[in-house]
Amino acid sequence: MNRIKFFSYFLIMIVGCIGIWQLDVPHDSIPALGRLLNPFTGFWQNAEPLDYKPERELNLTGLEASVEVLYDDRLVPHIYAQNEHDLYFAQGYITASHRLWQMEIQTHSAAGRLSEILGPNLLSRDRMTRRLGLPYAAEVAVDSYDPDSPAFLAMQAYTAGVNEYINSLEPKDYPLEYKILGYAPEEWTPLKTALLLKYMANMLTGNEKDHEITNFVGTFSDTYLEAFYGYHWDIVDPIIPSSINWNTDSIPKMDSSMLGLSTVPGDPMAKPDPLLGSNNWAVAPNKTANGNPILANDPHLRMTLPAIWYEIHLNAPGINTYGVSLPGTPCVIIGFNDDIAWGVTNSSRDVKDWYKINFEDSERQRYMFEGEWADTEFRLEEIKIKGMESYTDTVAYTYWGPVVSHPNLDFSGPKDHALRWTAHDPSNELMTFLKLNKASNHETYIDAISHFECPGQNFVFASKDGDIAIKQQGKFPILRPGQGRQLQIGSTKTNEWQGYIPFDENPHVLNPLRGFVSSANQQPTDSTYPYFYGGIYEHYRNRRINSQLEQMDNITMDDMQRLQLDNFNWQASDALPLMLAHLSPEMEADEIKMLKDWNYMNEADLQAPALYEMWWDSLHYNIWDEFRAYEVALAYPSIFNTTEMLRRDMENPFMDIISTVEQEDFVDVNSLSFRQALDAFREEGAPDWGTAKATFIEHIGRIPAFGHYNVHCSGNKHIVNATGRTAGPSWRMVVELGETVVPRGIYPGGQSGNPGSPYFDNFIEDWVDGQYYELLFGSEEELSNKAMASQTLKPE
Amino acid sequence: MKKLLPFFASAILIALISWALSLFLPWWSFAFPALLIPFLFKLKPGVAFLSASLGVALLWLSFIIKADIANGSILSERMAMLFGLKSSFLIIITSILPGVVLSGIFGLSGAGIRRSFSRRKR
Repeated sequence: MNRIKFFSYFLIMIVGCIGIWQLDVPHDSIPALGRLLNPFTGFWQNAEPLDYKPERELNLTGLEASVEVLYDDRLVPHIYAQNEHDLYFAQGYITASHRLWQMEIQTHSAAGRLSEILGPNLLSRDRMTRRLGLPYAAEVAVDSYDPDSPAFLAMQAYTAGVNEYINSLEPKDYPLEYKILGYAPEEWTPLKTALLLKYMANMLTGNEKDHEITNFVGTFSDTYLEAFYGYHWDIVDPIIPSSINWNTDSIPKMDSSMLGLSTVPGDPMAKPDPLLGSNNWAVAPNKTANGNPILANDPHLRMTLPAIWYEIHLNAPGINTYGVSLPGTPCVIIGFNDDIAWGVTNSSRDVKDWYKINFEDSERQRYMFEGEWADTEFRLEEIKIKGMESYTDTVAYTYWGPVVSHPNLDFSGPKDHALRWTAHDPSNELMTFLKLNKASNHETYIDAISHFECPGQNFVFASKDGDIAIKQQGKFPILRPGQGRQLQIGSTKTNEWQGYIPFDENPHVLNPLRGFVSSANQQPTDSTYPYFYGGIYEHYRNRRINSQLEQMDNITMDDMQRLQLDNFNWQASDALPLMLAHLSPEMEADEIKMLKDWNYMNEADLQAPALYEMWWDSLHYNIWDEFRAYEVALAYPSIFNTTEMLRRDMENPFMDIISTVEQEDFVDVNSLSFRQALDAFREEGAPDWGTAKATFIEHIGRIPAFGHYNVHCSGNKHIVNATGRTAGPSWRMVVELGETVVPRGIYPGGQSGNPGSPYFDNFIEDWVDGQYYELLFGSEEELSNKAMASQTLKPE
Repeated sequence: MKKLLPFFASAILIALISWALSLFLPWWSFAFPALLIPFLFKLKPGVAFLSASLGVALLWLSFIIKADIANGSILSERMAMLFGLKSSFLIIITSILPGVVLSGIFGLSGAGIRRSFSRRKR
């Protein structure tokens, strides 16, 4: 034997083993390449055939009877079960089979567990999630569920279905993102469903600027408070028409002079995307061509892949409903059944208030409350971090709620400010959807939504009976006038909310004379509503929708689609004439004529809206330069308040550009802004609006290869077609409730969450084109010959 | 031609055994046949390297190409972009690299170890 030869070849074999080992483990951000790339268990297993069909038959443990599922050619499942347990079990199983990774990452996000999967970069985000008390809120909700309540039973059946799917998976079957990030799915629980609902609540209740307004008053006095942050009630076009009389008997008289406002400045919380919003409306039979009510809804949320919505049709004895669901939650959230249709927009009401806490010392064991030292409660938040030791955060809980931050931390966030937030209270929003899915008339709709507390929503309704209605439903605090706008002193109960507005006094209207109901995140009422409320509201989409619906008659579904796709820029029609009229005479450019000729339509292939939006952005930035001169966090007045300031009082000191010696006025700052915008516009090669806006639909895990970029879209924020750069109509639905229900809808995404599936993003192109799909709604017999595939789920 | 027979036979055997093992063992299970077959076939180390590489290349490529065609290259194009590669073709080549190179190394060492036992002829 040749020993040298033997050892050298043996060494080569060891090198091979080391090679295997190195490719079997991840390196920092590089996944385990051997695992990921090989054809047997790697990503190639996720390459779904173009002619993919769901398995014909599956044996599932946990079903009581067999369930038939038809998939249409867009992969929408139509589930026909023999009882409700099996219906929600099947919904859980099938939703997980298309969207498992999304379901888990969204609930990990709500639980403050992203660092566990994605590493230390997500730690500060997880800490903020936990300090906001999101996992705490979900635990409170789950603890409060009555184990016999139908909502809890539905959640349990759904959970069992999701887990049946998870348990059926081998590592080679894991969704692609698990393989790229190198982890495995964990068991689903009802807590995760509760977390998802809190995740939505957090996304939709950020409508406050308490810290910024406190800082504004401290920095500039309150002279301009109303002009810059007020509501301008004279042009508010509320959800509930102004002719309504309110029943004011039960309202306590309240004195705001007792309010203790804190002037301690603080950094604000991260705010939700200002593009978030929604439209919904319903028109009465006497305004439509066929004499049937028509309902429309388009929620504007962050557009992602996989999309936030999953389309589904649920059928069992006593229930037949279709619409979009949230992956992770049983039931249909926005949709219709045989008798009614419903939709939601965000109420935008302020249900988050901040209280300044005076702790005894840096240990924070006790805080001043009602003249005494009260004990702080602590909640330990252990945050696991990928590749590192866990981090434990200690969150102080006071009478008001969690102290979101304190000075010991290198954390940008409010200092010793406790958060009172309705999302922390026990509630059972799922009951609303469970009941809405089966509701058949106005009475059952009102009963269904009475379970809905947070986030407050405007529930629009139409029924086959010919009724239309809208109600703003949620748990809203009774406030002293002005309360909740600024940071309050937390050492006295005087600053506490004065209870909650009784649900039957929430703004509501049934069959108004004008023949339609609508909402677009504007004020729910005019100023005669007896309760004070805060919030951040829309002022343009609502006026456009109402003025259009007012004029329309003989309405068809096509008309409603056109209205959802309407690109009229009301704000530009207010601001641009003023801007053009106040350009200094030496400003000359061919582009000025283009703007003068523009019809205020933000169409993707027009150049004028691109230049206008650049000019407006630059103007807004230059006018409010004062706000950037201070260390404290301030909020720019909104687009609406800025526009109204120009319309009402353009002579004010904020027109000055503080970095120059001269005193500028509107003509100066406007002309400067035009020059800057024009330079940028020309530099970019005079793009059209779709190109300039460059809408994108991002993968939830921000993997660029799985997203869509530079999507060429019309519309913008404050326009009925509210397609902004990152958020937009995440589900467009129009339903006519005649003898048979005629439903249409589309969302920017696809049913499958798998980037290797032909159903991953197949709706996007049609959505950009403003197309709608005819939604298949009917019995198993009616649909069976239209289905792309059918599947039987059998009890094992 | 006769000289090429062991080379191809070994490659095909490695491919078939690797396929069988992949049904219940991890992705790297090709290492066993890649090491053993050249050892048993008494291949020259260089020939063994090529033969073992070829075997795994054939196996992996056939599975990958089948999946990619059925999928219309939807996923391979996205994964190519994820890896900063310009085409699905390049992600296919990248995908088989770990298997091909490692298999070659095991084939080389298997044949070499066998050689180190045999007496030098002539």
